[in-house]
Amino acid sequence: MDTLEQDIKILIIEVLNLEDISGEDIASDMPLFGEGLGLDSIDALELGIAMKKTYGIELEAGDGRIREHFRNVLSLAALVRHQGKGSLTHTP
Amino acid sequence: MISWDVPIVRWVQWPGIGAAELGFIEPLLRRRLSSLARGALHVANACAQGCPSATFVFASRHGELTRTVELLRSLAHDEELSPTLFSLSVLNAAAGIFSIARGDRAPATAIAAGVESFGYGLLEAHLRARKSPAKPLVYVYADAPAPDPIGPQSGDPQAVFALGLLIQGDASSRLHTAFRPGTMVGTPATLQANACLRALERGSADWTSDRHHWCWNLR
Repeated sequence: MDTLEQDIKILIIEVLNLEDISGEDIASDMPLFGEGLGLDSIDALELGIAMKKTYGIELEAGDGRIREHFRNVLSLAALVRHQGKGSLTHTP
Repeated sequence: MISWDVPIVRWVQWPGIGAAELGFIEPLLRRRLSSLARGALHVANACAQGCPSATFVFASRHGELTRTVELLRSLAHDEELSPTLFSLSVLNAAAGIFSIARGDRAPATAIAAGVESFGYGLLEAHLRARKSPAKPLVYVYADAPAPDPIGPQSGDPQAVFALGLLIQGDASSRLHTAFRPGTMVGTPATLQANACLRALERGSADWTSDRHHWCWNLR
C-alpha cells in the first residue's frame, strides 16, 4: 500500500469523523462524493482546508480541475506529489 | 402570576437508562452531531415514537456554543473556519438534523431564554399545543455547561442534560406550571429543567432565579 494514499485515507477519516470506517474500507479509486464513499459539499470544503493545512497544496476557487483532484484518493495523492510541499504530517 | 397546564403522555431524560439510541439517523448524518445534539435527539426520538407527524419545540440556553467558541478561536488565530462547525453552530442545528433524519418537513421552533430557557420553551410548547390539541407535540430541552473561556454559568447543568416531553390532548396526567416575579436577588440558580423533572417524578417542585419564582405540579 502506498504510504501517501494511506495517509490521505486516515486524514479523510479523522477530519470528516467517519464513524466505523477504516482505511481498508476506502479503495484508492473509490469515488469520494455521491456514489462511493457518499461525502457531501461540506465535506469537500472541510477536506480542502485539511489538504491545504497538511500538504501545503494551493487550491484556487476558480480552478476547474478541483473536481478532478477530489475525485478519489489516487487523484488527491497525484495532486500532492505534483504540487505539495511534501508529506508534513497528517495530524488535522 | 402566569399559569397553564399541559397534558403529558410521557417524558424521557438524558442521561437515562442505557446508551443513546440514534440508529434512526444514518451514520453519515450522525457523525457530525455534538454530544449535546446526541442527547437532544435521543430524547426527541424516544418521545416521538409512534407519532409519524408531530410538532416540535426545542429549547436550549447555550445551544451549540462549544462550536461557536471553536470558530472564534480559529478567527483569533487567523485560521480558516471549519465548514462543519459553521453549518452546525446555530441554535436550531439539532432541530434541522432531526427533521432530515425523520423525513419530516413540519416547521420546528428553537427557543433560548437565558437561565429560564426551559420554562419559556415549555410556554411556547403549551401555546403551540393549544392551537392543535389533537396533534402530538414533542418538547425537547437540552443544555451543556458553557465552554471555556466563558465557563459554566449559574443555572447550567454539570454535563449534557436533556429532557423530552410528549404533550397531547388526551393524556390523563397534566403538568401545571405557574410563575410570578421573584424578589430573591442574587440567588444562585440551579438547573431549571431539573425542578420540572422532580415534579414529574414526585408530584411537585419549585425553582427560583433572580427574575421569577416558578412552580410545577403533576396532577
